[in-house]
Amino acid sequence: MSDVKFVERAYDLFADTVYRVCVMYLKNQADAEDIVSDTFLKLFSYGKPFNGDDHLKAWLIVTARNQCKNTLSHWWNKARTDLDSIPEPAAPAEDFMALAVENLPEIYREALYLYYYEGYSGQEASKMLGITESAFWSRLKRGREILRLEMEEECDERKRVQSGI
Amino acid sequence: MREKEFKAVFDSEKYVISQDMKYRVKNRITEKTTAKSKIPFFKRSASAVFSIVLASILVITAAAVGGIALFKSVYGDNLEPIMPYSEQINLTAADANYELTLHEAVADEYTTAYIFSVKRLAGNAAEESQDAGMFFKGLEQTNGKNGSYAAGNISDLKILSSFNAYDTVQIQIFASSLDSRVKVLCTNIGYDAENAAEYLIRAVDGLKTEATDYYALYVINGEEQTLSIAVGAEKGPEIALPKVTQKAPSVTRSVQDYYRQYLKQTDPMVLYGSRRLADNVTITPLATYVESAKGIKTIWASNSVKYIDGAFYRTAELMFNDGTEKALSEMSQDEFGIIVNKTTGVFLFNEVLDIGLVKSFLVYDTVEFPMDVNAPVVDRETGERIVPKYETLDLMYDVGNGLASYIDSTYPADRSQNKIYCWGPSYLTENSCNLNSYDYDITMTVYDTVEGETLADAANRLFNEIQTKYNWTFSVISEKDGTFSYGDIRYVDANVSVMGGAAGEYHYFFFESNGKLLVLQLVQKSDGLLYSLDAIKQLITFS
Repeated sequence: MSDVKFVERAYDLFADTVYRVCVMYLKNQADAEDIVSDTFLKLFSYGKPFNGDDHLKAWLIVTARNQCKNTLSHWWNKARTDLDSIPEPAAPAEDFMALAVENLPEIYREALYLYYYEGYSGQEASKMLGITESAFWSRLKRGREILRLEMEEECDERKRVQSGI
Repeated sequence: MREKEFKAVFDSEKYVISQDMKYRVKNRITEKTTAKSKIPFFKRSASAVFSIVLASILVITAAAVGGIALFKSVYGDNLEPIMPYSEQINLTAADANYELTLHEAVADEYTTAYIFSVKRLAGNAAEESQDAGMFFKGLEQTNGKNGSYAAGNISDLKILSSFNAYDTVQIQIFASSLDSRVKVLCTNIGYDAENAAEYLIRAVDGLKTEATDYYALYVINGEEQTLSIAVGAEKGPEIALPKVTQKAPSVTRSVQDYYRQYLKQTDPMVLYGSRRLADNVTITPLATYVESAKGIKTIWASNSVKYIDGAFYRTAELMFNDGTEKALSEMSQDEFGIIVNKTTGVFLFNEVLDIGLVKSFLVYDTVEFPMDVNAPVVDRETGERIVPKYETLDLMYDVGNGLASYIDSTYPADRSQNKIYCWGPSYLTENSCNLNSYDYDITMTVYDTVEGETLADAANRLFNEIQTKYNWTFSVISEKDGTFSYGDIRYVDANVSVMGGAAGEYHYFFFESNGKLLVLQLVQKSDGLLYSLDAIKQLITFS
């Protein structure tokens, strides 16, 4: 079991990261708040030492991810449509990337997030996701491609609207 | 993709924790961790407490109301372990025909069990019910889409068949006996969209008196809606089912990696893709829940209840600290587990379990999963520790699964709607598997690499071996080298003639992964639109 002070320090350092991961998976703040709390309580119950803050951060991300996936796959969540997860009918242009990211299938979203936002290498990220490195690169490539296509379509749409076609 | 814009998404307001929330969550964590540091959860062995805490599924809420007694007719005399998580309710509603009483409730994280009774007062209602011994699942939710439920062929009860999926006023989830006497109601919901719970009801014969029938109702899945029970053909007495806030503790054990390792030695062909194996097992005082991402197989169905199939479950036992063992089937109502939904099932216990006394979960009579997650998983027969190792079967699973998902995702949306076009792997031998593509037969075979041999040499060697082995003759159409996510790859496109006749076009991909040489063979099997081959080629940058 971890020390209370250790958990508090970890929270101060990584609460933002854990919350971001939770919102990315759950797409709503209320559920994310619960999982943030659960993740740090899990840390408290975790008995093993960490090799520095990087290791701790990776553990927190993986644990939060697992918690979120459990929540999403929980029996009563499967058939539930969260109001927050229903996209707005017409997203403002500047939010389009956000919407595209949110609509991206989870396996691609998490790969892109870990690689581009958190800056993990392919090797590190694949380890965290529990997949082979090659599978990670495939996902990254596919995710990038989907986003690119989405953005291109949006640009075309905007051009059409601007030109009055 | 624009990287800066992508990063900005995660820096936007939605993804940043507010100071208020940050403070609130921190307080919650500090409060709980401080309390846990001071007070043990249970008066039980340190290792048991530690294992439960590590499992992180332990849930304990407010203090007990206690005082339940009727559950003895369901669970036997020892209700002690569930007393803190039970409530005595004793709510009664009546009309001229019936007196309905909700007596008691008990809950774990996933199920709430209620006991209620129906007293017949007058008229037709005074006739004795034919419900004794009945056991049925309330509904087939997916059938609700078309506005009707499939009524079960149940002689003495029926499931209502006139449900309107768009009626959000009141939904009768099920009814028993021909006069729709007992119902569970759910009000003001769009049923099919919002309700994923399952319901089971069982007559409690041990409590039955001349004029009164007793029932145990199990609401499985963490029902979020407010339910009520009612009685009578038309509008009769009705009682809302209160939520039980105290949840009995549970321990979850991830089992997949270990039995997978065990089965590699004993029965490798059943390993993957089987719906007879569990990934996770959760044990509570009221039930054992099983989850399997690949789904759960039905052995048979009766009265709309589907029962769980598989040697994994049939051999499952709980081992106790005192050295005794008890089969899951022996502890479960009707001896079998019940399928709750596609990927989950439950073994509802016929007696209350003190999970603090459980030492291990055992399958195949020999694979022992200690509840203390720090203790090693062992093969009891040999005494050897089971340590998951990454082997050829795992490699085939990873590469095969990745490829199948990828190929499937490349099918155009209008074709792949609600349908899987490539799935697998299914094992053919210990080093080869099949990916079930819609348009190609895809076989993947794994070989050991030969030290010092280049990929090109290995590809040539294996290509010749295939010809010799099957007595085929290849005429190579094209041969290309390239790179993709696994590194170097060689692609060979060839016409094959067998016994002097043309047998079609075969496509081979040779590449290495995890120190093994993998060969992918694609043979076209449909004349329609073809995607699988193109999909794989798109992964490759040819030199």
